Amino acid sequence: MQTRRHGMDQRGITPLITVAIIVVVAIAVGYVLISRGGGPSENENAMVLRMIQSADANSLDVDRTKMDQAMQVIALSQDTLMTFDLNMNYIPLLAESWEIGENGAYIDFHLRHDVKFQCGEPFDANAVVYSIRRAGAPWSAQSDTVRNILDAEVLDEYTARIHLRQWDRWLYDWFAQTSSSIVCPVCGEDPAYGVSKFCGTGPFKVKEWVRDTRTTLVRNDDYKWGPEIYQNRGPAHLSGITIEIDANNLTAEEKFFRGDIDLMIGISPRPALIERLTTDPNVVHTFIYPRSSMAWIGFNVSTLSPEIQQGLKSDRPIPSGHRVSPVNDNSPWLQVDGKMTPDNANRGLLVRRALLYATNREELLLLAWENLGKIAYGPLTSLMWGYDPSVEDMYPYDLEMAKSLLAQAGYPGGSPTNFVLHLTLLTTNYEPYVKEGETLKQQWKQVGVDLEVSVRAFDDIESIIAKCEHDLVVGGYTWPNADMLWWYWHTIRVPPSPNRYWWGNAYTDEVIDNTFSYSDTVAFKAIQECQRLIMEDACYLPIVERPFLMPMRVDVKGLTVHPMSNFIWKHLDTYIEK
Amino acid sequence: MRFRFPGGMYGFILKRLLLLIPIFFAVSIVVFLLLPLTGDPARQVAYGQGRYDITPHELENLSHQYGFHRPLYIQYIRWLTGYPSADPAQGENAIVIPKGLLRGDLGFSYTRSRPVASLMLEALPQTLLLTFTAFIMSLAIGLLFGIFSALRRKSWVDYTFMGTAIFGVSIPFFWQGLMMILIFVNWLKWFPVPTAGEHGLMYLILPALTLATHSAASLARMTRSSMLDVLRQDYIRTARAKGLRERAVVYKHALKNAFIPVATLLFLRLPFLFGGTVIMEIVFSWPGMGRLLVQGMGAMGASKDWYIVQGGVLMFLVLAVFANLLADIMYAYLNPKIRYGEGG
Repeated sequence: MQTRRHGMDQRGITPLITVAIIVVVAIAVGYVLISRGGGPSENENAMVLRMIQSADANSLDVDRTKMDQAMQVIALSQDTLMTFDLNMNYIPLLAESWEIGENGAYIDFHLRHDVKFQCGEPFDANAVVYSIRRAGAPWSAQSDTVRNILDAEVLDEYTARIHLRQWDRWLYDWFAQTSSSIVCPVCGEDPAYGVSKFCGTGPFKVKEWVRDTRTTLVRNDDYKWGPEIYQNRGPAHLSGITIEIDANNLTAEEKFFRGDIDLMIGISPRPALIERLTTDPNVVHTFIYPRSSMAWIGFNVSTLSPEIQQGLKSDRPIPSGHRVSPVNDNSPWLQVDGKMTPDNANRGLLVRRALLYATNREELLLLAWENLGKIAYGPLTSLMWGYDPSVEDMYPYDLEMAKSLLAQAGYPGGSPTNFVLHLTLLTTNYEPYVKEGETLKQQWKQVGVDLEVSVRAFDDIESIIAKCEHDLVVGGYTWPNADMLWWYWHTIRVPPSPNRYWWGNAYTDEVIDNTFSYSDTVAFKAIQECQRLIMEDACYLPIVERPFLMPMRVDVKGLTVHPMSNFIWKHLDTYIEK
Repeated sequence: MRFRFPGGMYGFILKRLLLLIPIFFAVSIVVFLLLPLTGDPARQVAYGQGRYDITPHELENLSHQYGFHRPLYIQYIRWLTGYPSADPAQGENAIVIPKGLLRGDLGFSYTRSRPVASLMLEALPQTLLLTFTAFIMSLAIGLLFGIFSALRRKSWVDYTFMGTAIFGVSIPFFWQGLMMILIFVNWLKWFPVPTAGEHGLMYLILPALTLATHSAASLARMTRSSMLDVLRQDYIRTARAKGLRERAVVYKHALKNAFIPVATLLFLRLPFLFGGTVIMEIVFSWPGMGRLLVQGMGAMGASKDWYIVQGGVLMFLVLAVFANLLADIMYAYLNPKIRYGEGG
């Protein structure tokens, strides 16, 4: 075998220098190639609204997502038949008018004649029927919401009739929500729709979506059918909008304070940031206002009503992880540390009530939410139609009562030095939620409850809940109406998430069913009763009606701040003052 | 007739390349198992698509759609080769039918609705740019610090440079990255704020410098030590005795020989630099493969996508393996003690 020697002593370092030069040249060429065609020029940026947020949408197809981040983009690029005015009344958008049939059997939408999709296709009744049927497809994220739609029908070119199985007041409300946006029948069939293919009738076109990086929208110059809440009905003043994704607070905030970004969306109320925002009034405006949004903690209530256990009310089988109890009662209990037994289900209820009494929500609001929101007392926000103020008096902060209830449940003598219960709270790393956990840990210590705060990835939390292996879990929702009662507390929703309480009973189901009533009086009464029932069973710890924090630079003008926040904004009046 | 490898450099490279095949298969098994061993794969796909309220029936459909209902070894063979192909009767739609890893198909991202290979190829140039910039920076800084420390042994220059080098070796990447942003971006405002999708030179300097720090520090220490060894050799004394200028002694005679171990270390640091890009790309929002990989793990608000993780790990494996191969070749090339061929 031939043996050769190579070495520095023979060849010197010349080849290495050559290699180094080649690498440097390659880097330079690579840099030039990669840098080519970068961001828009200064002129192009002149009327571009630059927004930033910490997470991106999972899809921009309205029927494949429920994420807030997606709805924000969809609201800009697509339109709904109706929309909300600033007082949350229904007003026309793509439909000029509508009529509800007798007993709510159908809704007729009379459509505008002057609308076309961004791809050039006309907007007509066919598009409405297509969108409704698409929303009801088994794979659609909207299919549960539109479950009471029987079918849709074209009455004439600009009139569509929606047939209902039964009147559904929340479905009626849905027609004004961004999640009911009309999809182009041609583009909607493209497999790339919502990923790289976009189309709608909205004031902005999605030019490019680079997942987890940036969404770029440009003005739809044909748009002239904006809703009446805007002085400018279209086209928009802005030439475009960019939504940048940056999960790093350090860099996201720096971009904003430098002026690289005009608007920060949905940021956490951290003390340092609040101080910087409020002490720098010449640079930014900060909108802090309540919206119909809730932060809560759910207890694992693992005894379900007999209907659920037997699968009578739901076509969904009970997952194997669920502990089916032989107890036939309507007093769900909290699975605590394996110490509870089904033969004493009422103990769980006492424990949960004790924990509600042991919670100082004013302190939670201060420490976790910088005092920016509003204390929440029940399952619905105070902005919702049907909110019952009487729930506010149900669980005042009362340590003695909490200790007494714990003693009745079999956990006497709890104190900061004598823990009688151990619970684990699952939370994501969202800063206010973690602070909620840490604050509760200190508060519940006073009654002898040792709370462990476990910070987990969102998907992990979902998996644990799906197996019913949790004690407590944080959560939140942003929703405009009492449809939440059905989504969160009706037993038909129990086996899958998002019902994180595994709670329900037959009577509450009936009451929730009544909230759908065609009669406002019946629905209103049912909504109020339901709130009390849920709080009496104490399966849920409401924390705060979350604030919406949106710092904005002063050169952004004309922004119409809507109570539905950014999920509905069209930015028709917004402009950048240079 | 017994097969014999060709001798010399080519035989050496061929043997190293053949050795990659079992390594590749071993890693492919581990990478493949990432998905089924981290929970119900159908549920993970559903969550990745934002479908958190999925019913058991929908889960079952999804499982058939992706072929998760098949035995694990069949799933592996299919992932590798694309066979057995999908059975449309079982609901497997065309969009997720894999061609197989061996044909360059890394799978289909269920969160981004795009082939993983195209996502990776889009991000690869960014990772290479960052890595090679860091490589050049570490070489330049390491040599500079090392040579001057050796020439000014036990002076304040030596202490300062070596102190800095020890600090550079000790400091964790991610912390250094955050501090660089805090100091040079937030406080001093010398650099633009790191932004995904922005590729200007000014965006490249900080992540590359941070990535280069550890390697530069190691190289500086090695260069100093090697230079000191060489400067004590007889031939250096002879060169000086012949009346050569000090510059010629140092750069022509001493550095040339001192560079052998340094060059070896330099190339051995290359896989380390590739690994470091994962952290750097996250901290500095650099849109390379590392950032994509971590996003695939569900970090930074993104949805988990195990196909991206599988693809990302494989791509980094390939980069690391070839970087190691390059290091071996350079080591053998530079060091006369290494022989190719039998027993080499």
